[in-house]
Amino acid sequence: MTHARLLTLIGGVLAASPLIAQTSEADAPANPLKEAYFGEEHVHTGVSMDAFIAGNRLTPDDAYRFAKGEEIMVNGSLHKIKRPLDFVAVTDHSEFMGEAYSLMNAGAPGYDDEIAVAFRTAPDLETALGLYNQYVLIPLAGGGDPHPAFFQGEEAIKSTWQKNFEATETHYAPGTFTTIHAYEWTSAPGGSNQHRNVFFRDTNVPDLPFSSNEGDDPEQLWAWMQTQRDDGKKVFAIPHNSNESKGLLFAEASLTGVPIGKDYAETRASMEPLIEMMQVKGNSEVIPNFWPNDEFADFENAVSIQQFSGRGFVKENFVRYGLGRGIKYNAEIGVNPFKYGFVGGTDNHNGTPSNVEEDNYTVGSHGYADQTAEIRSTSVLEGEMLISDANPGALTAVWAVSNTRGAIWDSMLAKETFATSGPRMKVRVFAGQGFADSYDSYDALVTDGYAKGVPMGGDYTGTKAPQFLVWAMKDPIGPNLDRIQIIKGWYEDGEMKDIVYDVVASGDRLQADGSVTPIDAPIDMSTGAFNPDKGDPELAGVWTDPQWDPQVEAFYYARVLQLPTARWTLYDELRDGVTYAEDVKRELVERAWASPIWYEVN
Amino acid sequence: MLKTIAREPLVHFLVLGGLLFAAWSWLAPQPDVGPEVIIIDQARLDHLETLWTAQWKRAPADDDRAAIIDRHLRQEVFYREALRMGLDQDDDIIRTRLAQKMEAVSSDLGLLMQPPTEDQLRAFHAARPDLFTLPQAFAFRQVLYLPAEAGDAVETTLAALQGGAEIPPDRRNKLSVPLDWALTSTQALENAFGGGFAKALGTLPVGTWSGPVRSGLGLHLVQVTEGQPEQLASFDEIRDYVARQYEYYTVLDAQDRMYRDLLDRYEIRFEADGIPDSILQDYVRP
Repeated sequence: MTHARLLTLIGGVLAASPLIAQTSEADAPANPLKEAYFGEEHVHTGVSMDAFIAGNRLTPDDAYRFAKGEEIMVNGSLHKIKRPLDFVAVTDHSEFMGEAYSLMNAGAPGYDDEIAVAFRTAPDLETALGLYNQYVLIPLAGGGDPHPAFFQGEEAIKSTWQKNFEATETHYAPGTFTTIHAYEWTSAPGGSNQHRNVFFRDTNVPDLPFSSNEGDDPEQLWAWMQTQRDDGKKVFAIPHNSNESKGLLFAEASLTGVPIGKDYAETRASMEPLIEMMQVKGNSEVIPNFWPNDEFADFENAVSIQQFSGRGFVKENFVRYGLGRGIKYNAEIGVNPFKYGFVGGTDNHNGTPSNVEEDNYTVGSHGYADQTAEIRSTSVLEGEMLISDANPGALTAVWAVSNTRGAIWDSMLAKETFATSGPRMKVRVFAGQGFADSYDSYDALVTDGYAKGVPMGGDYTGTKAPQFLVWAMKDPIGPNLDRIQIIKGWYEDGEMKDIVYDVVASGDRLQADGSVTPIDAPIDMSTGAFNPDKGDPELAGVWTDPQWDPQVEAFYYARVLQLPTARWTLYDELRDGVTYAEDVKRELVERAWASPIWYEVN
Repeated sequence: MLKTIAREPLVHFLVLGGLLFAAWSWLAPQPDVGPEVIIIDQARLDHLETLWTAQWKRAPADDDRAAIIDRHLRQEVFYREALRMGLDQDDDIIRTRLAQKMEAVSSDLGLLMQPPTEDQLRAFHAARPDLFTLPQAFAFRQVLYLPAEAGDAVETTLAALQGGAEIPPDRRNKLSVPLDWALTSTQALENAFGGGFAKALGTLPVGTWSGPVRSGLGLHLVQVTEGQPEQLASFDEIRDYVARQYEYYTVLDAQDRMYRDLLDRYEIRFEADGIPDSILQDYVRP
C-alpha cells in the first residue's frame, strides 16, 4: 500500500493531510458534469476578538484540522464532526486582527500588556465580556479609537493576516480539501447588521484586509474591493444575517441616504454574487408573519433576535423580499442589485467549521456562552438571542468541476450553489426548453440539463414559458425526501408577489390541482430517530411555469424538504436530562435552497 | 457628619495606611547589614527598553531612559516592600494570577519536551491504537436500485452480472453515486451510503457479484474487489503523523498531569460541611 493511500484510510482524517505529497490544481480529478462539494463559508477562530473573549483559543490551523475530521479540544472537551468537509473558508473579523496578534502569540509586542493579560486570563465569561465592553465596544460606539492600548498598529494586523494566510496555504490539498483565503468585514451601524465575508480566488491577496474601522459603509468596502480588482486580485463579498439588518440590507437607499441608482446597483451586483441564507443566528429566507401562505416558513427563524439591539423583524429583512426588490429594481432602473445566489454557513465562534450535526451539538458554537446543555437550556447569547433559539448552522454546497480553489470560487461567482440547513442532500436545477419527462441515467439528465438549459444561478432567456428540470437526492445518512418546491417571485403592476409551487413529491402525493397530501412521518421522541421508510431517496421531474408572462420580471428557486428529524434541543434533553421551555421546537424539517434562476425583461 | 466621614473610602484608606505604617515601623525587622541591593544589569535594561520600544515604536532617548529606570525602580521597591509585609498572602487577584502562571508553565513544559525521542513516539503509538488504527476498508463496484425500482430487476441484473455482463447503462452514477469505489474506510462508506451498508460489506464474498445489500439509498448489487481488516498502522509508515499527534496530546495532557502530580504532594482535609461523599472520595489518599 502506498504511503498516501495508507494515511487516507486513518478514519478518513488524513485525506488532506499536508503529510501527503501535494497534488497540483491541474492534476486534481475533474468531472465536467460537476460534483457537489460541501463546506463552510463562515467560521471564526480565536483570531476573532469576540471569539477570543468567549474563550476560543483555537487557530485557523486547528479549524482546518477539525474540518478534515480530526478531534480537537473545544472549550475543554475533545470534539469532532462525523463527516469531513470538502472545503473551508476561515473568516476571522478583520477588525482587531492586530489585537489578536498580541493576545495569541507569546512574546509578541503587547502580549504582556496588563489589559491583554486581563483579556487572556479572564476567569469567566462575565469578566471577559466586561473587559470587551470597556475596552472595545464603548470606545467603538462612542466613535473613538476602537483599539485597546495594547494594539501595536498596522504591522500587527499584517502579522495576523499573514499567519491566517500561511495556515490556509498549508492545509490546501487540491482535489481533496480546499481552503479559501477569506475574512469578515464587520459593520453594524446603528445595530443594523451589514456584515460581509470577503473571498479571494487565489494567493493574490492584499497585505491588509479592509475593516469597518477604515469604513463601515458597504460602499466603502466595495470601493476598496474595486482597487483590489484593478490591481489584478479576484474578490467577491457575501452578506449575512439580513434578518438582523433592520431592513437596511435590501434598502431603498444607500446607507448615506442616496436613493439606489444604476451605479450603486451595478457595483453591488458585481461585488456580491451570493448571500448567506442561514446560519447559527437564524434562517433569513422568510418568516410566517409576512409569508402566511408558505406552510414551511416557520423554520429556525430565531425570533428572539427581536428582543435585542432593536432588531425587530420587518419584511425587508428577508431574502425572498430581497430577491423581489431586486427584480423590481431591474424593472425600474435596468439593473438588479440583489441578484443573489445562496450559500449557508455557521458563523460558529468556536473555530469548528460546519459543526452542524443536530445530534452532535454537544459543545455549542459560541464558547462559554453555550458550552453545555445546562447553559444552553437557560441562557442568552449576549446581545443577540436566546440560545434555545439558535441552531448549529447551515452548509454550503458548490457544483464545481473539481475540488480546487479556482473551480469552487468560480462556481460560487457563477452562483451554481445551494445552501442546506445542515444535511447533505443534493439538488440540481436547470431552466430551458425541451427536457425529457424522465432520463435513463443521472448522467443523461445532467448532460441534457446543461445542453438545453442554464443551471441554478443563471438567466433564462427563452421566449416560451420556462421549463425547470429539477433533481434531488437525500442525505445518505438522513431521512428520505418529502418534496421539491419551486418558489416563484415576480413584479407586476407595481407589486412584488411570490408563490410556492410543489413540483415533485414522494409517492403519489402530488395531486392534479397542485396540492400535496401531507406525509405522516413523525420522529421517535424517545430516541430522536427519524422515520426510515417513508418518502423517496430521489426526486426528479420537469415543471413548466403555468403563469409565465414574457413582460414580467421573475425569479425562481427550488427548495427541497426532507422528512422530519430531531432538533438539537431534543438531543440535549435525551442526553443530558435538561428541559427546554414548552415552546422550544424539538423537531424540524431540514431543507436545501438552490440558487435562483432569473427571467429578466430588461 | 462623623458617620459620613467614617463611610468615606478615602478615609478608610488613610486610616488603614496609617495603621499599617505604624505596625511596619514597629514590627518590621530592620536590616542590620546595610541597604538591600537592586541590580540593573544589561539584560534587565535591554528588556525594559525593548518593551518600551514595542509600545512607542521608536528607540528611547535619554529622557525616556531615565523615566524607564525610575518607573522600574518604583515598581521594584514597592514590590519588595509589599512582599516583605506579606501583602501577597490571601489576595484573590494575586492567587489567581500565580495559579494561571503556573498552569501556563505546565503547558509550556509540554512544549519544552520537544523533540520527542524515537522511543517516546513508539510508546505513544502503542498506547493510543485509537489514533493509529487503520479501519476496516473495502474496494468494490456497486449497482444501485431505489426501493421503488427494486423487484425482479435486481435478481435479473445480479444473474447477468454474475454471468459476466456489463453494468446496465441506466445504473451508471445512479443518484450521482459512482460505480467504482477505491479502498475506503467503513466510516466514510457509511456516511456515503447510510443504512448499515458499510457493515454488511464484511459479510460478502470477495471477487464475485452478490447482494442485494440495503443502504440508506436503496438496494445494491456489490462486487467486493478488496477487503482490508482493521489493523494498527505500522509505526514506520506513519512516523510523522504519530509525531504530530504526540505533540498535540502532550500539550493537552501536560496541564492535567502536572495538576495531578502536584495534588499528590498534598493531603486534602475537608473541614467544611455539606460536601457529598462522591466528591470527598476523589481527594482521599489511597
